[in-house]
Amino acid sequence: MGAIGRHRRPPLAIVLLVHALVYAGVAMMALPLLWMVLTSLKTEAEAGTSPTFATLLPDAPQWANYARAFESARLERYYLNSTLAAVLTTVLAVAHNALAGYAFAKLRFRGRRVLLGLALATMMAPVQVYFIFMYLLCTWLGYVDSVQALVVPFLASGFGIFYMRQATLAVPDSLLEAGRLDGMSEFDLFWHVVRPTVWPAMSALGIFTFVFSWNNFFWPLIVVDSERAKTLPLALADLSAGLYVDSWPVQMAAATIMVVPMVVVYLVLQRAFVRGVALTGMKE
Amino acid sequence: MLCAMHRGQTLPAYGFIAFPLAALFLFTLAPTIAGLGLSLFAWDGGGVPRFVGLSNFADLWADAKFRPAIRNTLLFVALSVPPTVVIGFLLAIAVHARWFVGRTAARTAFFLPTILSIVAIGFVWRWLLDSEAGLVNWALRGFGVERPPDWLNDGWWPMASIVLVSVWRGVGFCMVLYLASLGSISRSLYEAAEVDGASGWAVVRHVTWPQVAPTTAFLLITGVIGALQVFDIVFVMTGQVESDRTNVLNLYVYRQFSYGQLGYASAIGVVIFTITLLATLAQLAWYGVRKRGV
Amino acid sequence: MRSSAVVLFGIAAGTAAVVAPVALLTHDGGGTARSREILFTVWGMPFEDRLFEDGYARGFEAEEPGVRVEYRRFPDVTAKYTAWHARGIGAEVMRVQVTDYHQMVERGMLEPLDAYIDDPADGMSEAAIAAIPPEMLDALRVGGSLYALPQDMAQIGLYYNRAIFDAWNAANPGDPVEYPREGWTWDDLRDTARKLARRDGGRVEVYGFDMFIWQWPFMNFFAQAGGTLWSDDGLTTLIDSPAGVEAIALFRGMVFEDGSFMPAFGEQQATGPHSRFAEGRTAMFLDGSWMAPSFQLRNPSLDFAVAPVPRGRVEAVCAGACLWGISVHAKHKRDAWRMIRWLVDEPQALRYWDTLRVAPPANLAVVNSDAFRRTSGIASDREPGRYLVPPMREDEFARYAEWLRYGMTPRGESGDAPAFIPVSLYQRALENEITALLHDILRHPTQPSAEDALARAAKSVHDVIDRDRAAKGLPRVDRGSKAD
Repeated sequence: MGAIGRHRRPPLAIVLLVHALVYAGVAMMALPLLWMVLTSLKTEAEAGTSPTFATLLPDAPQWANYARAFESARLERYYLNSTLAAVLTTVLAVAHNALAGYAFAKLRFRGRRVLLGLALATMMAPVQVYFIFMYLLCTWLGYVDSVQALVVPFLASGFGIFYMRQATLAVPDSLLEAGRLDGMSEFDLFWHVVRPTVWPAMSALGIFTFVFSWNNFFWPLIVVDSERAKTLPLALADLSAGLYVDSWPVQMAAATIMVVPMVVVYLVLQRAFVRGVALTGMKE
Repeated sequence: MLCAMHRGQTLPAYGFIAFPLAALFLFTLAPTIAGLGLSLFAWDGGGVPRFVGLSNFADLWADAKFRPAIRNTLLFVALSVPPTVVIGFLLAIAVHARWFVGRTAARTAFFLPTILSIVAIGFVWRWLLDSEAGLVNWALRGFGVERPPDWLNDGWWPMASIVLVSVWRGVGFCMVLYLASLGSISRSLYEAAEVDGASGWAVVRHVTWPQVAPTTAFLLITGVIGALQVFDIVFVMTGQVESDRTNVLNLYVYRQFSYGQLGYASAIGVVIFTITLLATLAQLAWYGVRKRGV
Repeated sequence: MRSSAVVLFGIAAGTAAVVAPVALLTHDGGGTARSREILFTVWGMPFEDRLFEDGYARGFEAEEPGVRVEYRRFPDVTAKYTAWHARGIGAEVMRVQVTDYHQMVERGMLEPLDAYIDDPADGMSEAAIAAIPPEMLDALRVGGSLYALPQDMAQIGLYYNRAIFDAWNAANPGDPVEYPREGWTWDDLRDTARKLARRDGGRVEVYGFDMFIWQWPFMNFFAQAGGTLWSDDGLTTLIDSPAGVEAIALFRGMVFEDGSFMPAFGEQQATGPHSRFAEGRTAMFLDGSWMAPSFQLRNPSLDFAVAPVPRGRVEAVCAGACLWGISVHAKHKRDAWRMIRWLVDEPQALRYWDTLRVAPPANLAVVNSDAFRRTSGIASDREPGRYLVPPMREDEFARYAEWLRYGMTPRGESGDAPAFIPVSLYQRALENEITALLHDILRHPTQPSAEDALARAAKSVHDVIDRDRAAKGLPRVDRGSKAD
């Protein structure tokens, strides 16, 4: 129905039905987040009982729940750690993966195929297989319990290299040859010729990396030992460490605090997000 | 001349790949190989690992908790990946239609869960699916369901809930990828189909679907890899409760690690790795065959 | 072309800075070069920092000027301790769950404490040792040695809603019920729960009896039926026994015969048994000592009290403990020991009760003192008048806390206190199986049979034991004909 509808409008009933279904889906996407925010503003009593129409909305918004979330979980510090780790990882990982992608796409050197194959193979290794020795390595390097441990292991990835290589393949060789004849160095070529062309892919990879780093849970759970490097997902998991005080409004407030910056960034940059994702599957 | 030019590229190329590959090798490849090797040892973290050959695998075979973990993992893959991809495809063709009103808004909304932390999502859904205070069961009761399910605790419902949340989170990604792919289908194909008088559904089935096959392949392969390695969502939604109905392989690895059975945990990791490898190769082979036009 | 050179330099310098093994971003300075830094690790909720960090870490620094205490809290210490052990490091003072204790001793993670305890200069006094409940010391001895000292002795008790009892008595003067009290039997529990349960059509108005589906209630009633969890060598579980069948019959009776108990499966409920009790919908709720402050906080108008668990043929109260131990990898063991001795001594043990009121300290001198009768709780920093843990006034002691003395007080001819701490090398595996078992047997009155369910659980535990022993190259356990 959809594809052909590019050109021919199907019967009105079908048009309406499709809209109804899709917007029902839109509601399902938004509702959990809306419910999260609503719950975060309720009292314990309002949240703890079966909802009724009367208790769907908080009677009086309990902004204090947000103060409580900050008080009980010291979120300020974790915000800083999460941001630092995500920004450092994003900037450096995009740079390195893009350079490697350029080398694999456009430069000739011995071992190119084998090395690319090895890089790709790492995409299949589950973190649960390698985390033990990755952890011991980080210990040996003195990274454990610092933001470094959340950054360095992710500065290169099989996916990132492959993704940037595919994007770089689209750069016309003639441009590069011309640059070389002008005496540009390979890094000049990358920066002045390749980068402008693959910039959408780089920003997409940057977004992926940022989202991954911001939301990463398993590895920080193992490697973070103290407040020094604790990130927001860990702090959120802390809030349910026991039954002792188990306040859903406060937990929802913490979840809201954690989620909102990403949502704002996403809404502002959503065009770049979507375009970036779209690029992923194109080059098969 | 060309040769000379290429020689000039060797040094910069090594320069560009040196750090990323060194990092990949040190932080992923070498630890993976060591992790696979550890599956042949018994080690509780202290002292020297003891070589035990394949006995960790023999033990796994006999472990009454291991089979449910494999079954649940495969079940999760089978139940979550295809619906995510198919729903994503259907959404894409619906939203892609010229007559669809509000394309950007719909796309924005569906993609939103993709960027959210699974820990936060897990919390929110636990709260939504709570059997008494949850919004979902409130709605179900409103629609006249006498005894709505106890989503997070009863029988197979927890697995169903995990699948539900995964699909909820994943459809937007698939949709956006399909949208891009739909945009690149040549108009002439549709025009030819219209001249032939094909019905709307037939066009989707015979023109659109084959044209987006590379995207489908990409989504299925990455989706299966991701689903085989599922951890966060199960960890957050089922928490500390060990149940044969929700235990998945990666969760079992983590538990064995906690109990100080590091070699055993690695053996489970080897199983995950093997299944991932086989599934990926099988899918690649399948698409390879299809591409050659069978 | 200069801009590209700058970028290249930026990438290289940025990478070098991040990769450099010297932790540039981290050092928080603090501590003079001469102070010895000891690491102090706990698990718990964020607000418990108010005791562990503000009270204990800073308090011990004030006590010992040469020491700096580095405090850390984790949601999951088990995985963390394993990871550290693999690295060959460990905390000076580590909080340990008693359920993991024997496994940690076996794996060589904990420092034996005997030499420290007996040290003429720095050891423990007779009185300090005598203050520790003897059954606790028995549970912690491995090959005659102690590898940790107990912080607390959490216990299971019967919470009850007095308003529901009073309402029943007002409505049924000819058939009164009594509040639960010490000396109640299983029959008293069942009769009262049956009377108080009330349904309106399909909806449960009042839950007669309720509990989380977890291992403690089972172990509690199993012990009361005369059961023993483990063989003497700790390598064979004995839950597959008549006592196990009796305990299952008690639960199933309340669920399927009396209709007084409607199990809520799983701990992931926002509105689980504890919420229902807090809302005033449950007459009796079997749970741990840590719930009382939480009920007071959630519903200040809830008129509830706590009694000891009812008794079976045997008086028994399931108990657990948090322990303080020293990692074998610790650098400053002498300081670690001095901190542990300080922590278990009366003033700090009392402080634990006075602030968190999670469980009575494992210190009989404190439990039997007058100071035990009231607590200060923890007030919120940011919202005056609000408490993170509510205080307990002296007149509330009888309602909320006096029951705790029952389990810790020697009784009868044997001179043993009813509280028991289930421990063994494979305790964790057993407790996991017990929880799974309860999930099975509480869904149907007869399927699976109690005997089958218990046999299956025992076999699963034995599989874990056999696998672990085989991996360590230890001989098989001969369990005779009962093995399968």
